Formats: sequence, C-alpha cells, structure tokens
Amino acid sequence: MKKIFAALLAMAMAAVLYALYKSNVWSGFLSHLTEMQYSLRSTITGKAAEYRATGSSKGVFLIVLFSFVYGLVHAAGPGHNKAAVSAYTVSRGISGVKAAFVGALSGMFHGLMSMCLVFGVYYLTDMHLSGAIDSYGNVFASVSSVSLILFGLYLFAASFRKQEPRKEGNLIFTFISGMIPCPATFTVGTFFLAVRMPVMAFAGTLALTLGMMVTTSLASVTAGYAGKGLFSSFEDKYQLITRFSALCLSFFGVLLYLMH
Amino acid sequence: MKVFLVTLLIILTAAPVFAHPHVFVDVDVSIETGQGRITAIEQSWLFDDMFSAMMIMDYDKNRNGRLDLDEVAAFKKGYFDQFSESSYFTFIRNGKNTVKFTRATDFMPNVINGRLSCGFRLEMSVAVPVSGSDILIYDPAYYNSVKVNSASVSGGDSKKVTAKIAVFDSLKYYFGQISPDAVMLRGKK
Repeated sequence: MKKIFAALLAMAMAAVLYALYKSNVWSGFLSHLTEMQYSLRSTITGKAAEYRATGSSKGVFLIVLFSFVYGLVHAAGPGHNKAAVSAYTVSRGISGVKAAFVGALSGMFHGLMSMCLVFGVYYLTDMHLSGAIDSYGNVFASVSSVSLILFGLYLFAASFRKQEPRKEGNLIFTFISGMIPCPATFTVGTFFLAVRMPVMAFAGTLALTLGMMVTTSLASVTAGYAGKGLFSSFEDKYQLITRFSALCLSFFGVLLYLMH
Repeated sequence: MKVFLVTLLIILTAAPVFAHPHVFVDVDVSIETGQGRITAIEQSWLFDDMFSAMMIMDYDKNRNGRLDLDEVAAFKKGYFDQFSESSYFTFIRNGKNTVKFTRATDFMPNVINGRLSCGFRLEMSVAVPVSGSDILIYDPAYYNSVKVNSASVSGGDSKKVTAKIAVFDSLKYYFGQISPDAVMLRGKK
C-alpha cells in the first residue's frame, strides 16, 4: 500500500514538473541562464581588455575566476552530458565519490578535447577555427552518439547475463560521453588566441573546464543519490531500474545522433 | 518524502542532452511596408566579442581590422550563406501561415569596436499583411542566442502600425524549451 502511494505521489510530482516545463517557468529559467552566460562572456572579454591595457596580475586572476564561473553556469544548461552521466550512474548503481569522479572525468574530457582542438588547429594547421569546431565537432558527436548507444546496450545485456561490467567501464564511458569538443571552451580559447594572449587562452580554457567538471560532477552525485534512494525504496526492482537506465543511455545516444 | 526527493532529483539532473547557445546575437530590425503589406525586412546582427574575434581572425587576412571586399566575399560564402537553410533565423507568422526566406541581399559586414556586425535585407516573395503579423527571429537549433534589441516600421504604413518586441509564448522551439523573440505588428487605434 505504501509503495502504491509512493508511486502515485511520484507520478503526480512528475505531472506537476511536466506542466511547469510546458509553461514559461522552464523557458524563463533557460533564458536567464543564457543571459548569465552572455554577461559572463562580456565580463571575461572586458577583463581581457583591462589586462592588455594595465598588465595587472589581478586581471589574470579575474579572467581565470570568471572563466571558471562561466564553466559552472555553462554546464548547468542543456547539453553537457548531465543526462548521459545520470543515466550511467544509476545504471551502474554507483554513488558518492565514485559518481563524482565519473561526472568530473566526463566534464574534463569535454573541455580537454576542445583545448586540444583549438591549440592544434591554431598552431598546426591553416584551417579556419570557426570551421574546425563544426567539422570536428560533428565527427566526434557521431562517434560519441554511436558509442553511447552501444555502451548502453552493452550494460543492458550485461545485466541479463548477471555479469559485472568491466572495471574499465567508468573510464570508457567518461571518454565516449565527453569526447565531443565543447564549443564554449573552444570559443574562449580562440578569443584569447585572437587577441594574442596564448597563456590566457590556456588558463581560461582550463578554468572553464574545471567549472564544467564541478557541475557535471554535482549532477552525477545527485543522480547517484537519487538512484540509491530508488534502490532502497524499490529493492525488488533493482534490475528493472538499472536496465531502464542503461536503455536511457542508449536513447540519449540516439537523440545526440539525430541532432547532428 | 524520499520518493519525492528521488523523483525531483532525477528529473532535475536529467535535462535533455542537447546543444545550447554558443554565439550571442543582438538584432535590430527595420520592417518596410507599403499598401498594407510587408515589403522587406532589413536586419543588423551584432555578434558577441568572443565570436567576433574568432571570425575576424579567420577572415581578416590582411589584419587591417576590417573586412575588405575580397574578405567580405569569403566571409559571406564561408559563413553567412549557410543561414539560407534556416530562413536567416526570420519567420513571419500571420494566423496559421508561416513565411520563410531563402535569399538575402545587400549583405554587408562591418567591424564596430571589435565586434562583428552584419547587415542584410530580406525581400518578400509573398504578400503578407502588415497588421497582425509577427516576425519571429530565432535560431531553431539554439546554437545562436538571438535577442531583438530594436524594431522600427518604415514605408507607407509606418504611421498605421506599431512594432512591439515581446517573447512569443505561443511557440516553444528547441524541443519545447525556449520561446523566441518576436516583433509584433499591430494596427494603431
């Protein structure tokens, strides 16, 4: 009886949240997030101009700080592996520090791929940077999406064989989920290279990546906690929940593939 | 209580895994009118500092701080022409009808205080009444965040209609998450 009530309560809550999503509350939140990002980017470019004019070390600190905050806010918006990481965390039944590590690694790869791309294209090729992020981004998105689909199916199949997924699974997942270069990191790096501040390009992109790692890590920890709560409330449904989460992972891969 | 928290946490963490704005564009719109119809829409797009720096670095080959004629041509071909596939982010709604654009003219980019600005003109190929039309300006893919800063009406009907900038709540794009900015043309009373 208690479980039925709990399930009905959960469905009612989901319905309320869906109604909020369809109303202007969610779109208002996203618009606000977008405004914040615009404001942060303007602040970063403003501090860069001040630093070029004064050479003050305080300017360096502020650029790094605002880049970090930009990374935090940027990853909070749609499209930074939070859903994929959440699905993976629940499907593997991991939580706490392990979940934090998975989220952080995924965010790290997402930022690092951009850093490698922007510096690689700038110093090693004659390619337009604006074209590079589109071209390479689409390639990596295709690879990542197919990999996520297959990985989700692998986790799903492994649960039926009562086989524990390989230990390297966490690392593999964080790489395939994070391999798409982050356009925001790329743009920040390009900006500082364009204004001839290569050291700030490195520092700014690294700080932004760290910010994204914190946000993705928080999402992963939250999902891990949610998963733990689900498992304790529905102990007999453990397999069902983990299998459903594995299928969600594949589903997100399909959506990502269709997007590109 | 635990189920409440669990459901809330799952839903809040699992936001859709899609792209989101990486370019920020401020738009000024001028709507040309005549004989009760929209005849053309002129727009000026002003890009954010970071994106502007990247594009200027890519296309200002002689590093003189502006785009010369050959650089303009390369920029139009390499960047701007792709927007024909997304109607140059401009959609006119009147009742149930939606008008899109596949061609822009009078394209002219400029560099203003380090920021890239692009002006262009969209000619009407179908008759659309001025009054009651809504001009929605947004990137359906949400890669560009487009904000309409100003809107004006010129031409024969400029004294008969007002242009109001508002969020167009009736439409939600990008998987039902965002409402676009719109210029709403209404007859003066």
